[in-house]
Amino acid sequence: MAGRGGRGRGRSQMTFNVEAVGIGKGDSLPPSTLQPSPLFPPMEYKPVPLQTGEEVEYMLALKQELRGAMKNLPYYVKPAAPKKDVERYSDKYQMSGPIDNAIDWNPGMHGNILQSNPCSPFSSEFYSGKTTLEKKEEEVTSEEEGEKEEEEEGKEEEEEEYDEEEHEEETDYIMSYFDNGEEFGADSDDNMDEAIY
Amino acid sequence: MTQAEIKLCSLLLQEHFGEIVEKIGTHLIKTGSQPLRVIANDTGMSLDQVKKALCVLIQHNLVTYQLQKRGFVEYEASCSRVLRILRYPRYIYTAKTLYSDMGELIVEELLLNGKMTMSAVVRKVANRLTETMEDGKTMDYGEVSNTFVRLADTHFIQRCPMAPETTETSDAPPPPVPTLAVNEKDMYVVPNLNLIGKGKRRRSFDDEDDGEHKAKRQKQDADSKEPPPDDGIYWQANIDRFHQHFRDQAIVSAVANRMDQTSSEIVRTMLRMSEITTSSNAPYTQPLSSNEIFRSLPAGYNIVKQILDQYLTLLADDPLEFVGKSGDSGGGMYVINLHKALATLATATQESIVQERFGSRCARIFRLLLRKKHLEQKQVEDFAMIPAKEAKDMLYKMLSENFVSLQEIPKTPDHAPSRTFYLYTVNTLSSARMLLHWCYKSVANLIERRQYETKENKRLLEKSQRVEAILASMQATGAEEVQLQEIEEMITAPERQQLENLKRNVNKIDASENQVDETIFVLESYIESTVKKL
Repeated sequence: MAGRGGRGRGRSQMTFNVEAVGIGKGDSLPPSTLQPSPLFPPMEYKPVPLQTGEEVEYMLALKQELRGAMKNLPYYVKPAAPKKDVERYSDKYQMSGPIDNAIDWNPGMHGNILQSNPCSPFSSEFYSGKTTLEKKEEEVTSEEEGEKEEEEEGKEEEEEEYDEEEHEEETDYIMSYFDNGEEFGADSDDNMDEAIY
Repeated sequence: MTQAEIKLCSLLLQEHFGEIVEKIGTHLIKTGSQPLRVIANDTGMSLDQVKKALCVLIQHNLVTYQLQKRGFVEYEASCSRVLRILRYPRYIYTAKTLYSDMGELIVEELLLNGKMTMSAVVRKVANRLTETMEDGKTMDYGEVSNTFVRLADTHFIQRCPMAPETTETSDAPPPPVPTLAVNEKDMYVVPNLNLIGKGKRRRSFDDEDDGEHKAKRQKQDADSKEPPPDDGIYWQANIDRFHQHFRDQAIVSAVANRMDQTSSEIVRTMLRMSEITTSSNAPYTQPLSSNEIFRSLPAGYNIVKQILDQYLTLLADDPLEFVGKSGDSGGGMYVINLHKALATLATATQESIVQERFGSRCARIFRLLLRKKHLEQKQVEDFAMIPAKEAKDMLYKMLSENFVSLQEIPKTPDHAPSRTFYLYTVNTLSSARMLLHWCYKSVANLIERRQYETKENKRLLEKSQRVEAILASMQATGAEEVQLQEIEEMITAPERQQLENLKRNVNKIDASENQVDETIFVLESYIESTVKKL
């Protein structure tokens, strides 16, 4: 380090002869930039306003509708529900669906030519879109939603029936009877897809 | 495939298919084709999740698979196909303009689901239309399938490649993957279906009941092994055909702007005549004689043959060269120079970008360079009639932004600056590529901004949704006016203001995304057609 004492005497820090690129002896070099250029540099010319009109409006609506619709289709693979902050006593009595919704899933393998190859996601069942995939998905999502969100009443009943059958033998507790108060304000689900941004 | 494209793909996948699919899809785009286990290993996700994501991607035609020589299957994602998600609204809108609501819904369903059988599409669309109709009215399956047939006839929808029929008796183990093949002849042939029935209205009260029945029915179907009549024949939207339509529309409106309505109508007729005969990426349409064009003009258009000939000569003489004359037989043979038209559209786009970015005087220099090809700095100053100092400044600015390129031609081998010509020129292809890259980047930025805005106001959005839900349920039970108002006031005035703001911003961003995609379309078609020609 100490050996480089000669640094800092102006031009001598360049590794090449500055005169070669056309900077004369007396000229001062432009100051070095110590910070990145601004993220949003000022614009010299104002951008033109967006197109308007019926076509644009309709396409806008279509785009937003499409985005909303996609989220509710089975193709929207939801990640596993994140773990909650603390373990609650009531958690035990919540009907937890599969923790990871990818677990009990099978891309429709019955009665097809591809039966013998479980790795292949191909089968006509799968392609039809409205088949096992969807059914499974619906089941899974509905159970998941049931965990923390309000459910449509009908579905709830369905689930409750199922729960009773499943678990009654293990405990004497009527599981469906448990209410932690989260069910308040049911039917808000109905209007979930109205406002989509 | 650039970083900007990958970023945009990842955002689009995430928005439409969720995080898991996004992770797998982006990984495949980055790495190219890979077998299943390697994907699972590299992304650190469970096999089940990877399979699921691949299924979704294949269903939406975003990923293809192939059997490698060594016997494993590799999956490959198509970046350019993922980017088309951005254009879905435009496809749907086009279907609406051509085939009204029914066409709109058919294409929308196909895009939402990737692939569907005809019977499923017809049933779904009929149900959806019935729901929007007045009480007591229903939509007939027949009408919907008519529109479906028309869409297939005009090639806007096509069959997906399908797995070959295998005979049950063969002893050999089936191959690990089916080779999907499509018969060119059957591509647009609609299966002969007897779809009789009417759309069903979803009843609001016994909704679940209905769903249950449906599930049961499906189960019964599966049990009795009675597949739908068109089982195995799946349909998808033919994106290339839509692009051809967009291109034709753009050419027609360009001619209309350049000359007049009548000439645009003539060009439209020519394009329509060659719609099916010319492949979507041909540089020229098939030659059409003026007699043929005359016969095919729309009936309501009162043009005499003589006037038509005059128009055609005028169009062929136009410096834009959209229409070219290819021969004299049959009263003159005319073609539409599709490649030239796309190039003109792309150049016009570039000109206007330069104008909006650097001002009209820079645009003057840019146009000058486009016309004269190669110019020295001095010549630029003279021809553009701009003072030397300013012209130099503008040229350098455009040079540094890569709109203009510099060609050195040394007189002596030592490249001494004093003995070298410096010629400025515009390379339209490379600047189109650069602009395309910018477009991808800006769309990605727009999406990110939109997500940020929504995230920032998440709490507020949830609240307003909840309040709306409560209001709706109270209205249904017949609550009093005062009560309703009370609940409405749960959202305060500033909050309402904030919501309004958010909505306006999101709308603006979404509209911008659509508009940038139009530019992307023009630039992409130009690049594609130029690359094919080379």
